[in-house]
Amino acid sequence: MIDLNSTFFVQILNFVVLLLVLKKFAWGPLTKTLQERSNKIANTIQQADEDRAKASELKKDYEGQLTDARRKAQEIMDAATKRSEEEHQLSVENTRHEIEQMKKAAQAQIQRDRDLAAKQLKGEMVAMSLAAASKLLAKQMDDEANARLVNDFISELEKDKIGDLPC
Amino acid sequence: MHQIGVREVVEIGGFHFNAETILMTWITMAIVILIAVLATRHLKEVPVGWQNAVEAVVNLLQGQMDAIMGPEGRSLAPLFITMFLFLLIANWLGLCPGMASPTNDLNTTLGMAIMVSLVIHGIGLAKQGVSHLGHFFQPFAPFVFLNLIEEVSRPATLAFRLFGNILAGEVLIIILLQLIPWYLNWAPSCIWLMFSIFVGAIQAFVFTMLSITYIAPSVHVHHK
Repeated sequence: MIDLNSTFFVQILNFVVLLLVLKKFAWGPLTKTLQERSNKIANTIQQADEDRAKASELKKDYEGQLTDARRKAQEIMDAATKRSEEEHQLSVENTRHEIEQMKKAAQAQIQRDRDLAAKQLKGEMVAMSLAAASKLLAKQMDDEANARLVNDFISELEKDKIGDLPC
Repeated sequence: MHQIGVREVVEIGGFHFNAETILMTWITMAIVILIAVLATRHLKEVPVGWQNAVEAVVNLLQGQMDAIMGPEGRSLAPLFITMFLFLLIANWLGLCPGMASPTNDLNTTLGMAIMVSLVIHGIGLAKQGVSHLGHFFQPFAPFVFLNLIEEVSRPATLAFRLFGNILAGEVLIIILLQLIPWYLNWAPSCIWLMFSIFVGAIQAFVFTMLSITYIAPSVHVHHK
């Protein structure tokens, strides 16, 4: 039953031949296919990881940009509000200034008109005084009394009335 | 009648050959090559049919090899894949009527076991140089005797375990058929055949796994 003979060597040879044949024609291509598949799977997984990382980075980027844009819009709005307020202030200031100017001009005009009126009144007073004087002359009054009366009259007028003339 | 353990010996030029064993070995080789051709004929990225089945075996063995030998042992994958498929088909062949397992002959099993021993030392010498022989004196010199016994016992146990299991299986198939009257003998035979299918697969796997384990220390380059 346990009869070792030359079959021993034939069997080793048989197995080696089988091994070489299969290695060349079957296991080589098969292990290559397996290796390629596992490489592909590993690559795909890595690619997916990279894509996910990239996507999250992009998202963060976009969120940052959105926040930035929102902040900028707020800034622009704030600036516009501030400028319009400033312009409003300036126009109010200008208007006030113009009113002031107009008031001053009006007052100056009033002053001038009053002065002119006073001067005209004074002239008329003199004329009226002369007329009054000529009427007094007609009553044969002496010169001295005449002049005193006129002067008194005028000074009285100047003192009491002219200063308070309404315009 | 089939005589158990009696082999037809052919003499060619003074050399004796067991004709049946060699014939059965060639049939086994043909079947293994056929399976390999069917599996790798149209290699696809998404495997179907035979490719799927063989890939499952290859993946199983490669997983074990990676665990035991690490990535350095990848180049030995064809050896162990061929060994497993050859032993599996060889063990199962004897279960077919009129056939015999090549592995019921000690010439086959001892031949493969000795070949494993040669691979162990061949790879060891190639990878580690003469320092590979230093492991005979590990952990210290007197252990050389124990290590030498182990060197002999490893192929011996590999060979006799497989030989014994398969021969016993085939012997029992014949005995069970003759022991029990013809109208009942199919019952134990069926059970025994199913068990033999299981044993054939287990023995092929055990032989391959032990070979991987024995070769593993030679594959690693010692860093001292």
